[in-house]
Amino acid sequence: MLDQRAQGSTTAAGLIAKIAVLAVVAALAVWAAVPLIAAGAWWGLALEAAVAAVLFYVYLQRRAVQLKYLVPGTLLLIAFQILPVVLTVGTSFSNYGDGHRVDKEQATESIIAAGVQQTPGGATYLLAVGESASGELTLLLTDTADGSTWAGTEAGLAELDGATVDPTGRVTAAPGYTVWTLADLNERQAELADLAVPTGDTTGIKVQGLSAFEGESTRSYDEACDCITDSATGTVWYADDETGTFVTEDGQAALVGWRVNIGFGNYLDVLTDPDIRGPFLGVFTWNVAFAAGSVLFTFAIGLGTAMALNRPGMRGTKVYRAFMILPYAMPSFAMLLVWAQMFNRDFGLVNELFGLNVNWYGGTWPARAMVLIANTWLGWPYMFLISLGALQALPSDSLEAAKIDGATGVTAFRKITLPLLLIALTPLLISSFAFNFNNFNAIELLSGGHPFEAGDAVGGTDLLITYAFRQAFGSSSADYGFASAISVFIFLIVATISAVMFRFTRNQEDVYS
Amino acid sequence: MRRRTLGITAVSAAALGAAAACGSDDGDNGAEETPEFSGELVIWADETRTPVLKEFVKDFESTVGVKVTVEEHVETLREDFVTAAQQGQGPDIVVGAHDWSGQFAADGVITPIALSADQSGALNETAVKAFTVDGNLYGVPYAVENLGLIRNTDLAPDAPATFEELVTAGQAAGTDEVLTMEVGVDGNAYSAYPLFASMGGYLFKDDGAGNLDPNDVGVDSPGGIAAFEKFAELGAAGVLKTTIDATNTIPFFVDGKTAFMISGPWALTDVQGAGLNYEVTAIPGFEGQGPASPFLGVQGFYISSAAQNAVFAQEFVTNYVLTEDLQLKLAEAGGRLPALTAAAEAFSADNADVQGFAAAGENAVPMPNIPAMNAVWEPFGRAEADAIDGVSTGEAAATTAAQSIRDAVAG
Repeated sequence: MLDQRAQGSTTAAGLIAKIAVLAVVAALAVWAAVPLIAAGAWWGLALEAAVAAVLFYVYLQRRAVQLKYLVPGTLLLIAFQILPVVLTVGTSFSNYGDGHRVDKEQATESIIAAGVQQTPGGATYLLAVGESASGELTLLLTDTADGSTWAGTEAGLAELDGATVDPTGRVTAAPGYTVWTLADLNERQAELADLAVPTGDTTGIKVQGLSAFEGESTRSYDEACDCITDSATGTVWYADDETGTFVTEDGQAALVGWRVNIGFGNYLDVLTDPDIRGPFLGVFTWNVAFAAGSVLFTFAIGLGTAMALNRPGMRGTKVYRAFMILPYAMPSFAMLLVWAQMFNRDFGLVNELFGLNVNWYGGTWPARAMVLIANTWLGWPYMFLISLGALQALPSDSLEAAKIDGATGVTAFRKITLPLLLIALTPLLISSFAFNFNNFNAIELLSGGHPFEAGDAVGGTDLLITYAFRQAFGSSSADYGFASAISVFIFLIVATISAVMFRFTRNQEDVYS
Repeated sequence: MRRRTLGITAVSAAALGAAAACGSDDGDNGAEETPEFSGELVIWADETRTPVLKEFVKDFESTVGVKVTVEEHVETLREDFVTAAQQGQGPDIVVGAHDWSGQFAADGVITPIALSADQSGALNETAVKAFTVDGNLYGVPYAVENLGLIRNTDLAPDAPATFEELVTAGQAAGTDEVLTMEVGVDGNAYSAYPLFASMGGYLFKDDGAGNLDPNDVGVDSPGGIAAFEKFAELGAAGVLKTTIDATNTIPFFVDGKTAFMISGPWALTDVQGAGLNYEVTAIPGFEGQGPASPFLGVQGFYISSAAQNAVFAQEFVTNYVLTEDLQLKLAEAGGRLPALTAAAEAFSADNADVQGFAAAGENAVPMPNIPAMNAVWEPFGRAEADAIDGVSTGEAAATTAAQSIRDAVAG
C-alpha cells in the first residue's frame, strides 16, 4: 500500500501535472528575466536563476521528499513576509519620502532643468532634424516670426539657404542634408537630446517637442565644490550629503533633494518627538484595550451563538447560519462606512432608533464604544465559524463522562468545554488580537481617530497604527523613512505581545493535555 | 550640463534598446501601412478622462504617426505615477490636478514646460499660475473647477446677495436645513475656504506674483479669527453642522430638505437626475465683507522626467492639449470649464450651469500647490469643526490651528 502511494507521482496524470507546473515556472522565470537583463540587474538575474534552479532540482529528483513540501512555502514566506520586513527596516534608516525620492544625479538634473528659461524676446522655431553629408546632426529651424530658416549644430546657428518648407513652414528638405522623418525622430531622439546648440555664452537652442526656442540655462553643477550655481540670481546651493539636500549658505533648500542614509535619525525622531512620546502610553493602553475588547466581545458572542446552534434539536440552523455569516461575507470597507453613517448624531440610525442624542464622535468614551460595537459586529461571525467547527470536533465522551459525574451545564461548560475549546482556539485568538491591534481600517474608516482635543495630534480612538499613519502621511508630505521606523516599533510591540501569549498557551496546553 | 546629458542619454538609450527590440518584430508590415513607430507615447489618466482622451489621441496618432496609449489608473494615479517615475519607468504624460505639482516637482518626477507668450496668454491666467512652482510652469491646464452656490429655485426664487440674505431665505423656505455645506466631523477646509476668505482670512501670504510664503500663515490673522468666529456663530445658529458631510450634502438638497447647497459641478448630475429647478450662482460673501472666493482646482497634463518619448510628449502637451477641440471635448465629458479662454467661451455660451460656476469662480484663487498646504487641511478642518460644534471659541480654534500648521511647516 505504502509503496503504491510512493510511486503515485510517476503515474501519467501526476507526471503531466508536474511537467505543467514546471513549465509555468520556467515560463515565469523567462518572463521575469527579460526586464532584469534589460535593466542590467545581474544580481537579480542570478538570484532568479538560483530560485528557478532550486525549484527544478527539488521536483526533478526523487529523494528529499520533505523539500518538495517545504520549498514553495519557504519561498513564499521569504517573498511576502521576510522581504517586506527587511525592506521596511532598510527604509527606516533613510530619509526616503516626498522631496527625497530620487538619487543625487537626478536631483541635480531636475534643479538644473528648472533653471532653463526662455530668453526674453528670443526667437521661437519650428523644428526639423537632419544630418549633413558628413553625418553631423543638425537642427533645421524655421523662425516662426519671419519664416527664415536656420541650421543649428554644436558650432552654433548658421543661416540655411535653399530649404524647402511645407505649408506650416517646417523644413522638409535642404541641400546637403538628409531630413529625418518623424519615424526617424522617434527612433533616434536620444541623439537629439545630446545635441547642444549654443547661440551665445549662456544661451542655446532648446528643443521642446517639434518646436524649439532660444533659452538660457542659468544653473550649472560644479563637481569641485559639489554645488549648483544660478548665474541669474547668484544663488549657490551646496550639496549636503548628510540630509540629501542642496542648501544655500543661509539654509534655503533647493526644491529637489535626494535619498540618503540617515542612520538612526528616524528612530531618534520617534523617541524624542514630544508629539509622539507624550501620548504614547495613552494610545498604547487604548490600543491593547481595543484589541483585547474586540477579541473578547467577538469571541463571547461568536461562541454563544455557536453553542446555541450546536444544540441537538435546534431547528433551522442552516438559515440562521447563513444570516450570521452575512456580516463576514460583506466587504468590511463598505460596512464600516455604513456604520460611520449610522452613528451620525443628527441623522444616524442608532440615535434615531433608540431615541438617543449621543454625539458619538464628540466624546472619547462614546467614540470608543462606537468602534467596539461596530468592530464586534464585523468580527463575531469569524469567531462563530471557528467556535462552531471546534465545538463539533470536541470528543463527546468527556462531556458524557462529566454528565455522568453530575456536572451541570454551566460547570461542564466551564470545566470541560471551554478548556478543550481554548486549546484549539487560543492561537486563533492570539492572531485575532494581533490583527485587531493593527486594525487600521476599523478606526480610520469609522472614527478617523476622533475625538480630537483642540490642537492635539492624537485622538481618543487612535491606535498606534492610525496615529503613526497620520504622523507620517497625514499632516505633511509622505515620509516613508519615518513611517517605516514607526512600523518597526509597532512590529516589535506586537511580536513581543504575541511571543508572550504563545508562551502562555504552551503552558496551558501542558496543563490540559 | 554634462551630468544632465549623461542621465538623459542613459534613460533614452534604454528606451531605444527596448524600442529597437520591439520594432524588429513588426518592422516588415509596418512599412506598407501608415508609418508605424516603434516608440509609443504613454499617457496615464483617471477613469473619467481616459475614454475621452482615447478618443482624442486618434487625431494625434494620425497626424504625427506615433502610437498613443492611454492607460486608466483608478484611485491611485498620483502614487502610481510618483513610484513609477522615480524608478525611471511609467508614462510619458500624466493627467492630474494642479495641487500635485508641488509634490511632483519636489520629487523631481516632472519636467518644466515652456509655453510661448501667445500660448499662455490664451489660457486662464489663474490656471497657469496654479501649475507654476518656483517660477516654472510644470503642467498645461485644460479644465478648471470651483465651488458655487446651487439654489432650489422653487424653494428660494431669488439669488441671495449676501450670506445673511442666504440664511434668511434658507430659514424662510421652511426646510429642515438652512443650507448644506460639507463640514463633517473633521471639518472641511476646501468648502470652508470661501467663507473664510470673505472675512479676510488667508492661508499663506501671497507675494503678489503668485508665490506663497509657507512661513507666513494667516489662519489666525485678524480676518482669519473673524472667520472662525463666524463659523462658531453659524454653528450655534444651526446653519453649519458637523453632521452634514460628504454623504448627505447632495442627497439632502436633492430631497428638498434644503434650499441652498454649496458644492461643485460634480453635484449637478444628481440634481438634474432629480428633476429639480435650480440655478448656480456665486457664493455670497458676508455683508460688508469681501467676496467669498472659492478655491480653483485645475486639471492639466504633466510631462514625466522619466519620459521615454520626450519629444512627442512635449509636442502633445504643448501643442495638442492647447487646441480648442480637445478642451471642448474634455469639458463636455467632465462638465468643467475649459482652461483655454476661447474654449471656455464656446462651452459656456448656452450653458447656464457653467456660467454660474464661472461667475462663482471669478474671484477664485488657485488651491495652493506648495507642499506646506498638506499641513493645512487637517488642523484647519478640525478647528472649523470645533468652532461649529461650540467646543472652542472661534479665536481659540483659529490660534490652535495656526499653531499646528506652523509647527508642521517648520517640521
